[in-house]
Amino acid sequence: MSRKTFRAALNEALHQEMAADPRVVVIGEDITGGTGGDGEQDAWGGAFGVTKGLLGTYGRERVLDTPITESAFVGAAAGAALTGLRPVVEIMFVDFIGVCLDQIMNQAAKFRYMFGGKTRCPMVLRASFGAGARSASQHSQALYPLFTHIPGLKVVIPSNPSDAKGLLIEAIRDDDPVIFLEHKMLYDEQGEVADQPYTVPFGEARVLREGKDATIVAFGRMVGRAEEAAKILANEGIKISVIDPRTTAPLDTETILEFAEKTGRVIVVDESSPRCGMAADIAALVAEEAFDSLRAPILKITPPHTPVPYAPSLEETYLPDAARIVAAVRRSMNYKG
Amino acid sequence: MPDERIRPITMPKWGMTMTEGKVSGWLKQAGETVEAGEEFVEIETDKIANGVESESSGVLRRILVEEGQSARCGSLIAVMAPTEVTDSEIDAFLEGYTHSVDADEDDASGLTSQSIDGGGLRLNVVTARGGAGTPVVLIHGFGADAGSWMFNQEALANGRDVHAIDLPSHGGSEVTSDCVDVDAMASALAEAIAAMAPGGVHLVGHSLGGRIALRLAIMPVLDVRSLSLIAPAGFSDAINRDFVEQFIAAERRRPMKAALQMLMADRDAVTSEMIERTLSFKRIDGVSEALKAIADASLGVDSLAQGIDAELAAVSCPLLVIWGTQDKILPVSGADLASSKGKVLLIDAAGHMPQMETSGQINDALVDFIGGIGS
Repeated sequence: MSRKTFRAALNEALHQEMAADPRVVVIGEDITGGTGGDGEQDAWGGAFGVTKGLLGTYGRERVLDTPITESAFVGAAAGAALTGLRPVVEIMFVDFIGVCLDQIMNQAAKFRYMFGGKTRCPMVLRASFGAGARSASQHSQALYPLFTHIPGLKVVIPSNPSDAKGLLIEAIRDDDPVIFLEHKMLYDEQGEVADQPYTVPFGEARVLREGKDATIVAFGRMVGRAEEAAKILANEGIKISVIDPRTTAPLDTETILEFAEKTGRVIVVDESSPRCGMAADIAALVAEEAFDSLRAPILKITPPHTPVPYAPSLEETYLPDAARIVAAVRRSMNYKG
Repeated sequence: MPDERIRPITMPKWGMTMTEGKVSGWLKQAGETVEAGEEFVEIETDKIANGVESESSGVLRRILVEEGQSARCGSLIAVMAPTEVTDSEIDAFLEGYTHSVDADEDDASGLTSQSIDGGGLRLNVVTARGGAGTPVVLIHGFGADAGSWMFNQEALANGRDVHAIDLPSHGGSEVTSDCVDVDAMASALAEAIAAMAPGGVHLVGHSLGGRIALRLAIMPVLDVRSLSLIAPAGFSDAINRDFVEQFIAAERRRPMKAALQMLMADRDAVTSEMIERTLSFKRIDGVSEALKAIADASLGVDSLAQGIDAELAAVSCPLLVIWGTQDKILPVSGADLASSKGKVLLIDAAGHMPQMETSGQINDALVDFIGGIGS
């Protein structure tokens, strides 16, 4: 156990799985960095430094720095996965997914089904996502609902360094295509991370705290903000349960419903756009399955349905924050039906 | 000599897991006067936020950690001094202070951990420094780790060091499917403890760790001054197999919660953090297999009880046995076995984990018992 950043936890997961399994390869743009000149090789590990040090240990056979052609290298990874490799592909920003969506949506996600279960596609696609880094609307989206919508994909959104490592190892060992989304504002977050390899299973929510008054379900970076809100409310004697589903596909509906029923109040905090997003999905689940337990309407805390703004003041206003979550919980607590 | 008119303000340490804190707000600015007992800075951690009161009155002369920034516990965040102290005197103080912190880094309060070799395995040892007296070694039970002493370790570290050792394949120790029975685990621990505490040791063991501690107490390689056993295995004529099997099988939150609730008198004492921590440990590569192997080799009623009478008879140091009357894992009737040999303390409000559920009572009992030995 030692303190590591989210970035270092991911790097350790890649190192340990590459050391343990020669079938694991990594592919992506700039993941070794400085490919043009000998002296600069492996100088930085991708735009966010996650793959640093892999080239020096595993060489160019297993660490493939690609040209700027997502459609080609994502397709190549899907094919490599069919032949028995376990590629971990990096898409620098999830916003770039548009140019290779067919390879993911129609190919990787469908191989197992279309071939009658005779083949598997053990591929991981890692990508940064999320707002807050002043990266403007083409580099800041939270597109996890897009992937969650597509049958055949597993979708992972770690919220802390320890989960980041365990979920990435689980993703690499999983036999199906996994979309692994890393919030770019979390890379420097620190936490206790076990040094040994370990896994965190998909489809099991983490319960950060248990309280009887209301349940907050939050994803990715919003988990920290939900915790912040829960602490503020705890000072006023309001006891909140905070649930981090960790994966949106599969989704731990059981835990969400258990806490919806226990508390009767559900607030979902979701950084993705409000229409057809995870907040709407969870709200529908709770309304269908736990309606009789509800003491107040389900509330969705999301950004507005707009592109992510570039201006810092607007970007901060766009994102749900602790104050908005606290206000929503109060609204829920004060509801008189 | 440091200038005594200048008072260093350091990052406080609240609880043993706090390693650093963030300055969330300065309530006083540099140059302002702070009264004794007045809050002058707000600090927050992952878990809590709190204001810090000034111990005495003075002028806040220098702020070294700005709002929003973090600092390690014990590091300098500000300086207070009366107005007659000059800026250059404060500069000189700061220079001297930096050096003294570097020199004293090992003496920082709190827990440190290290790896010690035992039986060819790397065993993790968590230490609370307390002084030069005969040290205490704490040995946890099946499926637990040094963290099961979180409410005891620092309370016992008064005048003596307290080491909590992780059993093989537990906590931060090496994972192996080879060192799984009481004999092998006792041998591995004996080697590590002899290295840590060559001049004698007080042993405290819980559950399976209690069974191992009893074995250690009669091993000639160790100089055991006292033996405290909390719900030790091997004393009862039954063991709750449902617990062992459910604990091993549990891969998810709900079944793990149900298993852990069997450990407590108060089922609500099982927190989500405890569940998550236990699951995280079980998800480390190789741990599940090792736990199964340990349960098969060590947790049968017969194998636990094997040789117990002879071992108890051979114990030559003072013995204390503590048991929760609501223990649902190992029945409290096991305490009878020790009644003719040593002191027995039964705790009504506790299940199988009295050191957590009734930590204050257990700490007092252990401090009295160990303190009364004389060294």
